[in-house]
Amino acid sequence: MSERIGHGALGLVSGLRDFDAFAGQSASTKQAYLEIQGGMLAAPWALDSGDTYSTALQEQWDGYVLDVVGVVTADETLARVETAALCRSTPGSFYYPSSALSLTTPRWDDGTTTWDSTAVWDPGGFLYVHLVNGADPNNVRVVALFAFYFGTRGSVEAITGPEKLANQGLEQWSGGMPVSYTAAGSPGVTISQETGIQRERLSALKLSFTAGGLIAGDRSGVEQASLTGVMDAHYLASGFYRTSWGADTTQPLVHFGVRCDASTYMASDGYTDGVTVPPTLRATNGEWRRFVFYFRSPVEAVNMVLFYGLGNAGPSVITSASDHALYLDDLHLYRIYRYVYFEPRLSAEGIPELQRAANDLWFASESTGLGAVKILNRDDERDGDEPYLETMFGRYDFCSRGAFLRYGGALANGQEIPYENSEPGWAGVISAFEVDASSATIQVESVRGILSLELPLETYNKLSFPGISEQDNGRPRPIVFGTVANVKPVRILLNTGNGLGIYEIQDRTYGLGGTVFNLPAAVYAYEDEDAAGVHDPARRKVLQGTSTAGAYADYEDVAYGPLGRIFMLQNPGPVRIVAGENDAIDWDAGGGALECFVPAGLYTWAGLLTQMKQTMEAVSGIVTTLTYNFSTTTHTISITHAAATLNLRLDTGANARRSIFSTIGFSQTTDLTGLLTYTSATSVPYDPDAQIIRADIYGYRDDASGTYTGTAGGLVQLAPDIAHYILRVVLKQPASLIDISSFVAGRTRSTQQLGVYIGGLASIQGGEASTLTAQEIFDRLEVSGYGDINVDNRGVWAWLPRIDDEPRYSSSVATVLENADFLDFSSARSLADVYQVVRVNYAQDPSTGMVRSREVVNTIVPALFQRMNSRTWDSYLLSEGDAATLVFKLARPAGIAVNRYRFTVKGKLVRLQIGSVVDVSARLRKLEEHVGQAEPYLIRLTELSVNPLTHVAEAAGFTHYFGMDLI
Amino acid sequence: MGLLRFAYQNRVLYVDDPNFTTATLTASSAATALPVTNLLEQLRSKVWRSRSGFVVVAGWNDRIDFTEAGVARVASITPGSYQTGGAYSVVLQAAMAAAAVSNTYQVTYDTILRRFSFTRSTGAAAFNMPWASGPNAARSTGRDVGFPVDVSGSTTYTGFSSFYQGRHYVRVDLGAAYAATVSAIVGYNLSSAATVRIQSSTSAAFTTLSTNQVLVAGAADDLRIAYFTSDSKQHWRLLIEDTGNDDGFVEIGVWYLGPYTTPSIRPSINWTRERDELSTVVHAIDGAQHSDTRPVRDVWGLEWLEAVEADVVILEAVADAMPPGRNFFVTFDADDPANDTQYGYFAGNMTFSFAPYNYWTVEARFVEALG
Repeated sequence: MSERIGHGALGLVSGLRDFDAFAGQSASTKQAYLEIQGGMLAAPWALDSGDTYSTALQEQWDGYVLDVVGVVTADETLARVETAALCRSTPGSFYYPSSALSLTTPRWDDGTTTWDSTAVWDPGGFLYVHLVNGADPNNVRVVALFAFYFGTRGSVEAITGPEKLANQGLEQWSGGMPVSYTAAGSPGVTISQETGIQRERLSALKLSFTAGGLIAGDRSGVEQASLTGVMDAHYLASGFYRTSWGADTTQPLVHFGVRCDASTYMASDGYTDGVTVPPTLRATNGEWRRFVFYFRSPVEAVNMVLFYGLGNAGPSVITSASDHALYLDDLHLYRIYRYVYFEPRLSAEGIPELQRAANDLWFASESTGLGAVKILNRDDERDGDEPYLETMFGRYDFCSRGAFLRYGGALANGQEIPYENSEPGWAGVISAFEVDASSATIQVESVRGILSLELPLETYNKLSFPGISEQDNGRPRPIVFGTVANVKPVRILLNTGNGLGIYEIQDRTYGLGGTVFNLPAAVYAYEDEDAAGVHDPARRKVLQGTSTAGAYADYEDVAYGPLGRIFMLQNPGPVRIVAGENDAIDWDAGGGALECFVPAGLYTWAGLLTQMKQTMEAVSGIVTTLTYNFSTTTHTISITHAAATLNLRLDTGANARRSIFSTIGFSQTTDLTGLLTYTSATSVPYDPDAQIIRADIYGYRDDASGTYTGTAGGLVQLAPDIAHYILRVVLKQPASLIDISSFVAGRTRSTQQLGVYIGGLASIQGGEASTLTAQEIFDRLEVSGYGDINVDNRGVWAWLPRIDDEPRYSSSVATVLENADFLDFSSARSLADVYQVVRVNYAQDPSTGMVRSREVVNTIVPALFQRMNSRTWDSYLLSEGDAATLVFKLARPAGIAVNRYRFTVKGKLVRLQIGSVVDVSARLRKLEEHVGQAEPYLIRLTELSVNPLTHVAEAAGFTHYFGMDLI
Repeated sequence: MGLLRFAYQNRVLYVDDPNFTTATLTASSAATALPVTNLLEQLRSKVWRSRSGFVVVAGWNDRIDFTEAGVARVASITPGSYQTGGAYSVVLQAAMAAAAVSNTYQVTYDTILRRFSFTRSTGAAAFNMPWASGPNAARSTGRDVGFPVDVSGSTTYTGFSSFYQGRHYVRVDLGAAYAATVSAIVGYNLSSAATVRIQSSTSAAFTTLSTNQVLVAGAADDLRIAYFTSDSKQHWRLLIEDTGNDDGFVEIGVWYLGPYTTPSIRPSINWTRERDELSTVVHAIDGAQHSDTRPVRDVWGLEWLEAVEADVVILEAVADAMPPGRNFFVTFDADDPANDTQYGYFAGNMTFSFAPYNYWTVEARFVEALG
């Protein structure tokens, strides 16, 4: 690769080896790149158009105007777009002109070309934002982020924006074509999905010649949908390709082109437009290689179309369908915003190793250690002792901002691994820094640090909820996913009409708009706490509900608000009628004594009055009306008769000792006579805080796009979906830091339906109100879904399913290490993760904290290891079947002392993660594996420490336990 | 074999020194994040880079002299940045049209051969283009578009190859006259065909040149240097002509402008040059080696034997001004500066040993600056 291309010069190069080849080479040149970000508040904002606002912003440091590489608010991370017009049409975006700016860029028209812009202002110096939902940035804090670049050697590198291609991994197909691509060119080439020779993930694009053949002079392939660009701006297109043939010949040809108009392309110099034949790529002889094309957007069109195809320069028709095939995968297109100088200020001692470790060989609590980065300060004090890094660190806020390390360099043959193909080393968050005359020391924490956050963040309090019940004051405001039974709702208000409770069942602020929740499955009024604790159906009343706000029928007890609230319409009671104790009604209508008995049972107050009416009318044949009178302070009952006379025999009735009247608020000291309507003297019990209300509820629903579940409005209830939702919505991680496809793929394996209630009584065992850290929540999700939630070296979150029961799967994804790779190697066994009893808790009751459990006993353990111990995992599982399946998997490695390995390797482990699998079978001296290990010497990594400058990695792991059956 | 020369008093590097408040450093253009102020840093990798495309600067390259039937015309080009030859040809044609009286003209750019052509489209008046001798030759864009000399006698003129950048300058106004005898550059991307001149003048417009000398490249072509007769001027500039550079821009890492000093005696026979390998090697358990290949830098061991007091003063002045780690130029052989000049720094102490009979032995280690 030309040393200049990619550093400012344009052009196309192909046949490039990639980072993996670089990392695996025994001799190479390593280089490290560091980017740190600082921020500053941007304000004030003036309305630009619609919901888009702008502010003048032109920050300079070290002699040039800084680029705005990001814009964040407390709740949003805005996406960068290339034009102000795009910003205006894209909620959640920002625009900064970037490369057009210089220190002399005027904000007002520059006078050189009067009014040379379509607006009053000349381009440059203005930051545009378009917040989600059209919010006015003057009402929120908006932070502009600037980037500063350092390296182990000085170099000029291209800084790019976000990915511009859709379906860049060629994973999504529809109708035989990759989504967002179309067939282009002549007949003679077949387009198909390739799932056996893909470069990454599951599929690649295959182009092969058809039997009819591609005639000489033709070409055929696919085109990416038209992509909006900016005229004359620089872009970077790259991708992996593989040809089945070796030598570069005239036929067949591999074409890659950026189409300028209907029939012409950019030339391979990346500058010249209008050539009629797209450039060609070198044949790869069956290897995956890269191409990279730095080019300016063609003059003729601002809409770029990328063409990938096969060509035939002649002289004959190519008909060989089997011998010649082109594979494409992992395609990219980026806008180049700037070429920036990486100051050579990283010293060998100044870059910390990335250290990652898991607690044990199961799930949970992966820790990541970074440490301190040291940047050399301008050290020549004879210049007058001018501050250098002090200026940078003083002006911008670096704490809590990103720090990103990347690995690059050159292969032994001199081929460069350019910045665009450099490998992320780690991504962290700056926690503190200190600057002295010789250096700046930056403390960097892992992005996983956000998992130390305790959830829920909010508690119920008098400030936010003035009407909160005293007994609920201070309770965490719950976050709920999936299906959760027996939730104790929080009484947040008193209904001003009836003095009954208005309840919140979960925090609606994390909802996605529209209908945030499904209606509760059921709402109950329990007789007492004990009954609620055991979900006793005999001691509860199911309350009838409606979702039609403002149109409640009399029989309805509760109304469900649209945002997760329950409005109590009737006094739910419940009230118990016991035969012989409080079931009798004595009265007359001026004639003989009447008596009747209400059937024993548990009633809501409305239900009881209905029952009394029916019972009385059945005896008397006289229409009787029982009315529940309510206000905020009075809850009495009136009895009205349609006959001429009504006497209630409260005192003298034959059944006075078992009368119902005292239960419904009447004094039984004297009979009531002479009127047709009588009202109870005292209120029946109605204090909402004395009522035992529980609900079976559903958690958050997906948005209309099905972002988190794949289904519009779907219930978020699978572990990968819940983790994704928490990351995005609760922890405010931007979409760019989520490997969405991994979470989507996770659904197919983690199909267990969960019930997650965060922040209530059930957050810990024992029934105490508490919060959980996000890490603890993720631990449970990992266990529940049998997968790992990882952060890769870019700081991108991903869901990785644990697949340990599919033959040959682990070996297919393992990184193979050769004997010559090991700088150090040792084998060991220990009792660290040996357990006799392995247990999974599930279906935790959110109001009591009680759990169900399922366990497996490793009977071999006491005899073989003299250990009688247990290990328990908490999960969010709901079904016993899922718990049984899970505990079986967890118990397998606990029954033996698995082989553990610790080794040092140079290069090949740089890209791996905790949980990655490596094959160490090539190592000559090592422990034998246990009998029954179907695929021995496949090691799942539990510790990994990588030196960013030497790429020496120290790792530890244990034998992946596929196929073992020792329980 | 010439004497050794030290060029260490780089006036460009100290343009922003608070003691020289009136000094300014400018360039014909600069890429957004690679400003001309990068030349205030001694690192060869920290470059000033011109903007890509054809940059037209008022007073520098914004005129076209042409004649119609012998009558001089002057086309004025709108200053700005034009990304491509095609875009620039449109601007040139508009400028010609505005200045023309008798004829109309077409200006085109051949994207394959990368050549501009000026063609008389209509009219019969004789059309000549005195690029080098016209009244505005000093601010002509001729060299940008491949016309270094006058052309005449035709109706179509096609220039030499011109990629997508024009000429560039880096200019320093020192605020007062300053005497210099050497200029050098390192850390550049110039093509072998590039010409770089050091020019001086009493005026900011450089209407009259005093020094006007080409910086010469050595065989390695990673350094260009020119020694010239001492000249004391306020205005200096590097004039860079590299219109065939397919990078599309010009960049320079270090520009030296200043005097030089030289001891009266050459270094002794004990002069050494070592290759300082920065690469490291580790070995696998079974012996396979893995290396981190890093650059090699040269380290020179310099010794002056029987130095007289005057030489000691010179050497000590260099050591005073150039503490370890501060870069400067050393021409080991004044007879071949293009091939025997290095950019580096002292690695440690310069040692002075006094010998009987009033002679000194001076030793120093000079390390090539890589970054």
